[in-house]
Amino acid sequence: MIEGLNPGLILILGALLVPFTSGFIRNIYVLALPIIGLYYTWSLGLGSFGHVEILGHTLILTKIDALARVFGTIFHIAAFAGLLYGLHVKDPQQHVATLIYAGAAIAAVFSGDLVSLFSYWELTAISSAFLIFASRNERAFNAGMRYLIIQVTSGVLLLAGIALYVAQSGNMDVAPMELGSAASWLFLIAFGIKTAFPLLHNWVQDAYPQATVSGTVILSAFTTKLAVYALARFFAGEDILLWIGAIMVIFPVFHATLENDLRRTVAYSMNSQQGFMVIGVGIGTELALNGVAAHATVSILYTCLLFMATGAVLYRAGTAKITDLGAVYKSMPLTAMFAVIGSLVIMAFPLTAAFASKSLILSAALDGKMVILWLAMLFGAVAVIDNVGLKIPLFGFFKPGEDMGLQEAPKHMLLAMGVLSVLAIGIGIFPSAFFQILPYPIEYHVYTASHVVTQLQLIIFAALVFVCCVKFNMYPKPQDTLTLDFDWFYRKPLKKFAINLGLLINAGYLGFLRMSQAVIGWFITKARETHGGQGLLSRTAASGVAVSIVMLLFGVTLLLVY
Amino acid sequence: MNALFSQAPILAIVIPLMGAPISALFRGAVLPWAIATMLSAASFWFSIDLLVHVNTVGPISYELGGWEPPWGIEYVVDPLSAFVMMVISGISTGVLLYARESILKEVSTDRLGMFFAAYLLALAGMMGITITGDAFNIFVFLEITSLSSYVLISMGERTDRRALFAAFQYLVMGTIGATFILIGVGLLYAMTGTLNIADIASKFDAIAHTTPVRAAVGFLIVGVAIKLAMFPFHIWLPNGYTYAPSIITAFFAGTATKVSVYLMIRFIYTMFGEDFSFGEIPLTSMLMTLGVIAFLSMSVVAIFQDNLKRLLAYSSVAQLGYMTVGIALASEMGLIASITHVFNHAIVKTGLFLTVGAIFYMVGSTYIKDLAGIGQRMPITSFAFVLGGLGLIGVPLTPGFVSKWYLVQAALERGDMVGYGLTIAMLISSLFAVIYVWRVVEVMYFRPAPEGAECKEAPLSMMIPCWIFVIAIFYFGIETSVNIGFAEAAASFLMGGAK
Amino acid sequence: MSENMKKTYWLDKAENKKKIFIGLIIAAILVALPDFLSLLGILYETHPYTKVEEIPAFYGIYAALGLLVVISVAGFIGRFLTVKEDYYD
Repeated sequence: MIEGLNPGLILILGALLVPFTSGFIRNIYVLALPIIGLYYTWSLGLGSFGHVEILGHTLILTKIDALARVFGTIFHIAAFAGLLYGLHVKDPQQHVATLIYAGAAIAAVFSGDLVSLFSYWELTAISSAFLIFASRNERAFNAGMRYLIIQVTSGVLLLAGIALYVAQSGNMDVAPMELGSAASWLFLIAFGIKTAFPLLHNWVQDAYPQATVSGTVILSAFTTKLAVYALARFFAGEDILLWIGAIMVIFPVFHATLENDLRRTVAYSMNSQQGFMVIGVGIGTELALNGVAAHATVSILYTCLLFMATGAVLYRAGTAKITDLGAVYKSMPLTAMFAVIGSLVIMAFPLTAAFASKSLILSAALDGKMVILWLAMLFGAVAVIDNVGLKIPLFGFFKPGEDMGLQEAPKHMLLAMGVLSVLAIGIGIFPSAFFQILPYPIEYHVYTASHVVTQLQLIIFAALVFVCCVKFNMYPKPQDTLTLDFDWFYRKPLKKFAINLGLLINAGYLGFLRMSQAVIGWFITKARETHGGQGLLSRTAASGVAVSIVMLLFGVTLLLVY
Repeated sequence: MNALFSQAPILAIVIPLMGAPISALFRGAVLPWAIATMLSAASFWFSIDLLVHVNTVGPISYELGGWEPPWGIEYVVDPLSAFVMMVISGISTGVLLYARESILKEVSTDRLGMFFAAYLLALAGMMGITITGDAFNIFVFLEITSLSSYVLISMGERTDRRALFAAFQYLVMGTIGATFILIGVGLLYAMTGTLNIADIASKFDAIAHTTPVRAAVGFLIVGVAIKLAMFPFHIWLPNGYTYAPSIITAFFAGTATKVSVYLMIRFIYTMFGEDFSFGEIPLTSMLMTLGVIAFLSMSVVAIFQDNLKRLLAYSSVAQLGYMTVGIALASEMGLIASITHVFNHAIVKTGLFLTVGAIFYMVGSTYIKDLAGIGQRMPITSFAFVLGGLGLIGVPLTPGFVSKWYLVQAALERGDMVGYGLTIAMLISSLFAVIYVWRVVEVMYFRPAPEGAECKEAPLSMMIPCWIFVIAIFYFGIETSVNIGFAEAAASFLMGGAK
Repeated sequence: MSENMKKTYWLDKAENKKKIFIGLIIAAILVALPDFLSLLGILYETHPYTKVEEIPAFYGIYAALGLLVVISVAGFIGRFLTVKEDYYD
């Protein structure tokens, strides 16, 4: 291999060939890319590769340490599962966007310098927007534009932060940072947008449910987890993250309870789960960072699984709204089963992966005597049992009523869900094998009697209360409505302001565009005149002319040589 | 085995040389082809042997007829010449594997014996130029190559009568080039009394300031530049490549100009010496100017071509510009870039011309407008073209990227404005390459095929060699130890050996 | 498909729903039991990190309360923030 080739480039460059394949070959090809990438990642081992000197700064194209490798690995797996899930898509744009997006996320994780990190950071933003646009309807287009604006803002803030940081420290390596300077705050906000910090979070719930069936699955896996990785890389142990994380755990759960759209529900609760990881980064101990890496991995597994199951319903029924759905399980039993598995995992049921990963972060909080944080996280754990663990299967799949006459999900979707389920349960059964790949050595017993018992208490009591509430009509009835969130501010008043400002800018931009077009047009005309068809440099010269040129240049050469 | 190997330097040349008259004796569609292929393969085998030997043991000097140099003719196999020989005979063998069905469509059967005789002569000539350590011998082999190439190019006349004019123009230009080289060699002989390159080199410094030697240098450089199709001496090349039979274009694209690049390096580094070439005379600025104009201007010309073969031919002139720049940079890194690009461009361009040949075989035209919808009609061939095109652009994972990467590094190594400017120029030129490749791909894939066009691939005997080249493109783009490794060895040998 | 339409599922019967409900109550008692037994030193020892964990069945109680909070807060804010589905269009 070329020395220092970033593993993410395999997917990014591989994507460019997708339009030139079709049918069976395309299926094999897109599935092979993440496998090759994963193999290459592990064959490289740990270390940094590909140092390039540019203008006095060293770029490190590829830097793999244990933390990066955990994220890189799960990203490859998610890309594989997501592509497998999306095989029915005939639109090459989506495959290309998926591969570039996943590749950029992987490449960002393995970037050793800030410039590479920024480039891939922006690439994830741009490529992923196409997964939303691919829905090809007006709502999706608008949501996609909002998404793109927010994501690119994050990139621009990051760029500003990098510029300041490099100017101050003269260093371009990806390395931990103290919060304090303006540069570091820019970094934090840039990461915060993508991590979906409270009040910076709306793009998740806004955009994800508008993407295509398979697009949502892909979107859920990368951006937010990449941001968690970036936080862990730069701001491990930063106290402010503890409180941001705690608010983040609690804030979205109420909306999740009220939400009618299954995919938006999952999006809200995913947001809450992100809070766990942010707290973990804030704690910053080895155990906590192990927990962050582990929970990010597991969270990708179950979030993808849930988006896949709900997406399959959307694919077959044309809707994923609770109010429109009936007894889905009767005609889509396998999909329903995978939804239940996903729910069990997100509830951290014993023998599932989250049982192992969530407890790492909880234990880290207790080790640090952070009881209030611990209670907040426990509250989040209870809430997720309610608004995903129970609500998704019971309201989405096991509603009483008539068979809806749907078809079971296509085979490749089931297969993709199967792959993720096996992994999620496998990690739950053999947590110590999974702990091997975590960043720090770890001695942690997941299956103690008290841990199992307390977790079961948590789940079963919550389930009991949930069932009671539903039984006695205390549970908020799902309605075909929206629940306003913070994004109201920028979708209503700010929008009006922006539109007016935009008109102004647009006028200026158009003028600029016209001018550049004229300049470029002039160049092209000139080039055509001299280089095209019978132009001076293109026509076949007569032999005599050719010989004259030779003589002329020979004369010049002789003069030069003397 | 050992006895055979000790004769390998001469065998690599003599096998195709002696094969030529034998091939000329045979008639029919298969026999001459089979002979040529086997002999070329044998020559390839010896070349690999030599390359490995040279890189493990050291340079070989082979005395022809037992006469000791500098009196007798000496064959010198050093890392550079062995590398170039491997490229030439390898490309030749690959092209021949493909040739059997392709050539039947373009050359009448009763001429095939002669055709392959000329082919073998061209191969023997190029191998000879590379291996010989004798300046006059270079001229002899150059003439063997040139005369047979005139014949081979004119064979395209069955498809397009303009091949005759193209061959004639090549003849005029080629003869001038060869004559210049002969005059140069003659002047050097007059001054040093020897024809052995190593011998001339050892005496060169003492007489470097004299007028005849200066004139000799001028003659040699311009002579080689004509053969190399260096801008603006390239006038013979686009026509020659466009109207020659498909396999001849593929063969020459990978070898003929590469041999001239070899000669350029050999004269500049071995004979004149680096200090003289870049210190005493302003070769850097001269070659670099022409090289940069070549890769910028010729890429633009390529954009406007409407014949695919012609487009690729202009792209070759542009790529030769890269090699020239690599030489002109006068650093080890630049030399590595240049030598690697000889190899890399050879497999990429030959591969591309082979796929074009396959398209011509089925469609009967290489005009871009006739290729509409080929992507659907010949999906496998078209995909091979796309992959080859990526190599030409220099996308990472292809050899084109590897050599450009080294060239950029060599340019940046200078650390001055010229270096940065060069890098920017190369980026722009790569952009042009994207445009001219994309133009073809766009027609191939996104224009509807004409009504009633049938979906049929070229015969397997052509497809397989095409794909061997395509796979080789990616193999050498990823596993670079062969091309970079041997090029590094050759470059360090030259820099170390250059006085 | 047409077979499915007529098929009656286990979950469709009212008595089975009751069974699940009762099953849940029994399960809840079972998982709460060890905490009380450990007070008497039977079965296993708990390893509380914090004071609150010493309350028997703390996790169960916390879960029940937490869930009620989620539901009631959600119901409460839902009254203010609910708008029509096509509000933004």
